[in-house]
This record gives sequence, C-alpha cells and structure tokens, in this order.
Amino acid sequence: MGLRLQKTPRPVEPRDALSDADIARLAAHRDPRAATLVWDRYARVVRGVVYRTLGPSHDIEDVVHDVFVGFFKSVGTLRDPSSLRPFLVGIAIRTVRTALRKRRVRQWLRLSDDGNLPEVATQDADPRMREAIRRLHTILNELDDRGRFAFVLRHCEGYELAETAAALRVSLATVKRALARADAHVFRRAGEDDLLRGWMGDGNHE
Amino acid sequence: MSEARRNAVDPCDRIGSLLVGATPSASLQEHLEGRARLIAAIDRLRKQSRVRSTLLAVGLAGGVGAAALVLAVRSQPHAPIAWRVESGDVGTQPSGGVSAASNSARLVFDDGSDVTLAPGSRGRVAGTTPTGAEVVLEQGRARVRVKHRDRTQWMLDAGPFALKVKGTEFSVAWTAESQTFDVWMRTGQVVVTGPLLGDALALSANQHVRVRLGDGTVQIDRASEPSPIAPERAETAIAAASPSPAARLEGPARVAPPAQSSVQTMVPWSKLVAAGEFSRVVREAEADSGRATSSRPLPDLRALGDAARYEGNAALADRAYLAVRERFSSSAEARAAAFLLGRVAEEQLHASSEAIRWYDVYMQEAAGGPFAGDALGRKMSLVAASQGREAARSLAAAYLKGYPRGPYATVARDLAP
Repeated sequence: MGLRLQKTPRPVEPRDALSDADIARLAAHRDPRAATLVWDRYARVVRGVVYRTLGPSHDIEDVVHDVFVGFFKSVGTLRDPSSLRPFLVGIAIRTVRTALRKRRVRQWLRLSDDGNLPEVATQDADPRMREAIRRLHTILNELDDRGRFAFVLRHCEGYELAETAAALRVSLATVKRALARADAHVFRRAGEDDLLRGWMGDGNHE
Repeated sequence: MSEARRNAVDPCDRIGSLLVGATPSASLQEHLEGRARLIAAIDRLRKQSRVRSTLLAVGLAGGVGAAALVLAVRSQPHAPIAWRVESGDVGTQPSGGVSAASNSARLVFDDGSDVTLAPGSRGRVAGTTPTGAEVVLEQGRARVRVKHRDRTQWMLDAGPFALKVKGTEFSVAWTAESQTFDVWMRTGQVVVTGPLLGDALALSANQHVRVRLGDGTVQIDRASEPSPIAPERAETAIAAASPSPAARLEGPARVAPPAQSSVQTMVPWSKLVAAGEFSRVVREAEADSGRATSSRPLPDLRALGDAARYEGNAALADRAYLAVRERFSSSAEARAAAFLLGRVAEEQLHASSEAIRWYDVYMQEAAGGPFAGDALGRKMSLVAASQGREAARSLAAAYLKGYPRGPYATVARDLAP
C-alpha cells in the first residue's frame, strides 16, 4: 500500500507575511495552500510577461495557466526558494516560446492564426493608442524569439542585463548582442511609424 | 504607467512603458476563476502522482515483504498476535489466504478482534505484530471489529485502498471488476487513504463512503450496508489454525503514519476552500443530508457555494448561495451570491435568461459592488448572443461609460463603436 510520510512546513500566518521562499517551500511540499498563494501573488506578473511577449492572443489565459502548472511540476528543481519570481518568469518565457512555435506551425498549416493580430484589448480607450499597440506588436513579431524576450524583459520588466541573460539561459554576451539587434530593429521600425515615432519622443538611440 | 517610465530617456524604454501601460488586467472574476482552474489542475497532478506512488509502493512492498519475511524467520519476533480461522477454507487460495464459500468465514485474533468474510469473499492475513495485524480483502465484503488497545495498529487493505484502524467496527467491500470500494461505519473512526480521496479521509460512526474508480466519483452519505454480515460468536469456532511463520511480520514500518485528519469535520469549510479542498467540502456537505445549508455559518455557506461551483455541482452551489441570501439577506455575501448564482446559471446550467435575471438582481442590489462590471459585461455578452447585437448596444454603451478600461471593453466597443 502507499504509505506517505510527508512532512509539511509549519503554517505561517498571515499569508501576506509569507516570503517567496515560504511559498516556494510550500509548493515543493505539495501543500494545498500553495496554488492559491502563488497565484494570488504572481498571476498579474506572469500575465503581464505572457501578454507582452506573446502579444494579443485568444489563449493568454491558457498560457498563463500552463505557466503555473509548469511551475508546480518543476518546483522541485528550484534550488534557491527565494528566487521564486525569476523562476516563474523563466517558466513563462519557455511556455511562451512553445506557444509561439505552435502558432508558427498553425500558420504554416494554415489552420488558424493567419498572421493578423486579433483585436487588441488594452487598458486604454483611445483608439489611437490601441492602434499604436497593434503596430508595436507587429514590430515585435518581426523579431526572433530571443530578441523579443530580451526586449520585453529589459524594457518592460526592467530586468538588468545579467538577469535577462539568466532568464533566457544564455551568456551575458549573447543577450547583449540579441538586445542590441532587437533595440535597433524596434527603434528603426517605430521611427518609420507616425504613431510610434511620436511616442518615442526625442530620445536618442544608437 | 508611472511617470518615471514615461520620462525614460531610452526610446526603447518608452516603447516598453507603452506596452506595460497597455497590458489589460484581469477582472476579479477572471482572477478567481483562473485560481480555481489552477487549484483543480494541481489536484489532478497530485492524484496522478499518488497513483504512480501507489504502483511503485506495491512493487516495493513485494521486495520489502520478501526481505522482511527472511528477517522474521531468522529472528523469530516476540509474540505477534495469533489468529485462527472459523468455517472458512484456509490456504486454498494462491496467496495462501482465506475464502468464504457458501457461508461466511471468520478470522479470530488473540487481541479480541475479528474479521468476518461474507460468502464468496476472499482475504488473507498479510502479517501480525504484537500490536495489530494487516489484513487484505482481496475480493468481496468483510465485517471488521477491532478491539481498541493502547498502541493498536491495525491495517486493512482493499484494492488500492488502505484503512487505518484504532478500535472500531465497520464493513468494507472491494469489487475488482467494477473497481468499486465501500466502507460502512458502525462505531469508532477509520482513516482511509487511496485514489480520489485526497491526503486521507476520516470516517466516523454511521458514515458510508463509496469510491468508483471507473467514473472517478466519491460519494459520502449515511447509507446502510445492504444485507449486513452477521457477526458470529467466537465461541462457535469450529476450526482453528495457527499463524504460519510465513504469515508473521514484525515491525511497525508497514503501518501508516498517525492520521492527521481525525477531526476533519471540524475544519471550517472556508479554510478548506482556501486550501483548495473543494471536493472534500462538497463531500462533507452531501454527507450532512442538507442540514449544512440551514445550520452552517455564513463563511462556510459561501465557501460551500464556491466549492460546489468549482466542482461543477450546480444544484449544491445553488442551494448554498440561496441559503446565503435567505439566512443572511443584509450581508455583502448575500449580494455577491446573486452574481454567483448568475455565474452558475450561465456556465453550468446554460440558462441565459436565469443568468441575466441574477445579474440584474446583483446590479440593483450592489451598483458599485466588486462584481458590478462583471455582471454588466456578462449580461451584455449574453444579450448579444441570445437576442442579437442591436439588443446589446445600449448595454455596451453603459459598460463603456462605466468601465472604459474594463475586461469587456473590447467587446463593448465592437457592439457600440
């Protein structure tokens, strides 16, 4: 018969007092509270990373769900429990990469995702802003995966170069090259666009 | 987005801030539903892992058992409980077990406990220790009476299920063909572990649990055992058998760890739902024969409604939410229950008009409530789907006016450009 001698960390209350390391340990011990805790703390962060890297899509919530399921499957490999956030972001990057591959296969097979972005849902009611976002995602779609992820992590999530490299599991030199290419491409293409050029303002870019 | 990011010097940072600011946020309802979906997925993962562990443990148990038997023969453990069989066939089974043909067979143990196999059933004593025994019900039904003593450690295995027993009386059945497991409690408590039961399930007097592995259902109620097995008197023993050395097994390692949930029914449902134990809450409510909705406190009723909704039990969710509205009519939960009744009607009963009616109730009672935007957005979507875009146009305009950045704004703009 299956006998389980499973130790569970002692509960720590209240939940807001729980550190990332506490939550990671609860998840590693399969504590039933872990799903609620990690979702409540990081669903918004993960959704943001997924939306910004994947672009407008009808399956954003599915991808976010897959990220968290992937987290619970692999939390045993998390060496430093306090690194819960970068660990989750790393899973999000890999999950989005898989979703992008599937999207390309579907495009190739002409099953769906014909290359036109779906209606862009944004926080902003301004139609010019919605159009700007749609054009920006089109430009990001022209980048390779590494460049797209590097651009989002660096310029949206505020990651340092070393953190970006760690999240993408590449060397610092590699991420620098990828980011330089991505920045140059986005800068050039956005500069050609009336709407986006206005948003970039007078900032100089090299 | 923050002013600091807008003022960023790097034009790519400005582009990044544009993306961040444009990222739509999930509504409260979407957040809660995403969380429930995750909890359900993790629960499925846990159960799959448990099945794999059980299979692995079965394999390991064979090896461990063989090693333990060698040790047992060598070291001759002191005073394990002796047992004998009354009116059954001994050793005729491939496993060396006991079978009950046309009459019941009774296994009598020195500690005052006994196990009666119903006619047609098969079982065996896997081992005994000075403080208990491990009995396997291979097929059929058995009535078990365990005499409570200090440090009693009794185990009963039936298929993939294991019962830890301290001192109690119950019947247990396992049918391999239909993959059905039953326990009918009479007195005391047992703790059951096995597929579909979460970490452990504590059963107390007069409770009955039925687990159907085939369709993945667990039912807890107070049903009586059909045609109970009559307990026979020990004095009527007509045959006796000493435990064979091979049947002896020393050591508590085969016995489950102490049950952590012997007071499960005392745990507030609100806490169980917070821990994701939706199915347990539903099981406990259904075992309570409907009394829960008339007696449980408000947090537990709300938790029951949520648990039943997440488990797809629309009828129970309805009863719980309606009880909240009836018994605690002036509370915020009563108003929220109206919205949630709408969600149940829409998602699980596919009753659009009923859902719209509940969304209207919510919007009337809680115009500025946390679900007001969701209620209006859901109503707008339902009206558009059931009555056409034109009928939903005014709702869309109202939505855009009240929630220009809400999660249904895109749909609303499409309906009322």
